[in-house]
Amino acid sequence: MPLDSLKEDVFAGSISLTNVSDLIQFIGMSGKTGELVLINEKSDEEGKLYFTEGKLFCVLTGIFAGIEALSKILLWNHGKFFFTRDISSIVRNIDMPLNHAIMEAARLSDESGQASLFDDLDEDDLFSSFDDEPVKQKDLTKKSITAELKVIDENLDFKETVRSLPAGFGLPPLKNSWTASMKSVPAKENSEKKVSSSNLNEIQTINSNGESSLINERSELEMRESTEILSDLLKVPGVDAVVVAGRDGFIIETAGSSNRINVDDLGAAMANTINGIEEMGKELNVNKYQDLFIEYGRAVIMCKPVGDAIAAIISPDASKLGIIRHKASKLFDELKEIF
Amino acid sequence: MTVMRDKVVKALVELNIRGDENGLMPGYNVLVNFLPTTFWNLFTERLINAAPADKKEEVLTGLYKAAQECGYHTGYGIINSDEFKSVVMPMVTEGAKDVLRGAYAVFTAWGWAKSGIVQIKEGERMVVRATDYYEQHIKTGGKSSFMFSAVSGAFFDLAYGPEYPNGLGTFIGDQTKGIEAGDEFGEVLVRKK
Repeated sequence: MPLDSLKEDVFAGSISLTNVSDLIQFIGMSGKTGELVLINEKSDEEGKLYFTEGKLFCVLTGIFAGIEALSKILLWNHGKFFFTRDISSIVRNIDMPLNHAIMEAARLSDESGQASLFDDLDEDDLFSSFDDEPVKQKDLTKKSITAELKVIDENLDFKETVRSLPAGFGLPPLKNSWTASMKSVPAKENSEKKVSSSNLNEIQTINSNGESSLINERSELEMRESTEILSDLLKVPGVDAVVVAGRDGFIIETAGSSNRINVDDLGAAMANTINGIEEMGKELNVNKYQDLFIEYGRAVIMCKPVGDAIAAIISPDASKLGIIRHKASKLFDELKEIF
Repeated sequence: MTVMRDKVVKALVELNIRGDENGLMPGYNVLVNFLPTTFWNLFTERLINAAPADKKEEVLTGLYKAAQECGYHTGYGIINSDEFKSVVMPMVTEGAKDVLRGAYAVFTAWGWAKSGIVQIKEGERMVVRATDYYEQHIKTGGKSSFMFSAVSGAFFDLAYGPEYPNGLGTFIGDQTKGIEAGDEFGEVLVRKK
């Protein structure tokens, strides 16, 4: 539909002058009811977002719907949009506040490995959006430079470099309580050290004189103690406490405090629940469980398998679940390596 | 399904086991003595403190070996006991790893050590932690949990060493942290000897 043929009460423009998240936040804050149609000129796709009194009600694009559709649309940066008042959808596929929906969509695109909305936005802006403040208008040039720098950073990422070492070097061990324990075992073990590809604690390095030597614990450079990771999890807004328990319910580590929940009871309950859920997954043949959210009146518990253990995050409510999931995802991955 | 500590603890504390006239409690296929833990802690303290400097290492090794032998044979009795078979074994789905989980749940139920497995690499190494154990009250100024470390090693022997009774000492337990030494918890790293 040509823009000049639109009626006067249609709000229209070019996506490249703004970004989709700013646009939908603007409509949300204006409390409008209507249909926002976006046309991606690059891919020739069309997306439709329906608002009811500023609340995002339904999102559709191609075969996608709901948050998944929103995660695709948020990444569009070329094309046109037009908003027509008083058109509503009879189908509802978004059931959360607008800012949370944006966060969830961003997390989804981030996890799926697509170019991510998080690449384009400052974390501070994302957090501020949770306080119902609009995300600031970003300078597009700055965004593209930031994205490029991120790519360079990723290429220089030491973790990746270590992982890309030949198979003979093996995966690095982890500097956690396990390796910390290994280090505290005195020299008798070191005396048995062999130059072997199966010895995960060793790496061959070449110093400035070109001499080759073996050092232990190369992972010190990259892996952290589990207590540090738990502390970082606590810094995520909305996280009251973090608990790591064994599959048998033994409490391995805790951080923070929650007066809502007894940690020992939580360990036992988690182990029992996860067992049941895994049994169900096995019977349904739907692979291993990835995530578990339980929302109670006074607390939200999010459980995730971390290696042979289970990590649980306790939050007072579900309002920050999107940001918790996003920020915690990488930290959970680190914990996975440890347990 | 794996071994659930809470279920093991709840089931075992309900068992009615009493000491006999000799101060021994027949249970779990073994005879458990009825002496207070302070007796054993004092025993360890005095042995270590009485040893001359040149014999100290020998005493420490002796204490470890005594505990290791105790753990190996007692452990074998426990995991083959009717109590263990009826309470723990129905929950065992991951083989030796689950048996070990069950063993630490039994120790917790006894009040011997509130302990559990933190990490395990089957047949290679294991980290065990205890947040409350009777040896934490030993006053030697250093890590002195011989039972906790040696029994952990012995249990790994039973799980992954040669068949009983030939596996004793295949693995050793090194105490890496101890409440008695000022740490937040006790921790033992079990590895191949």
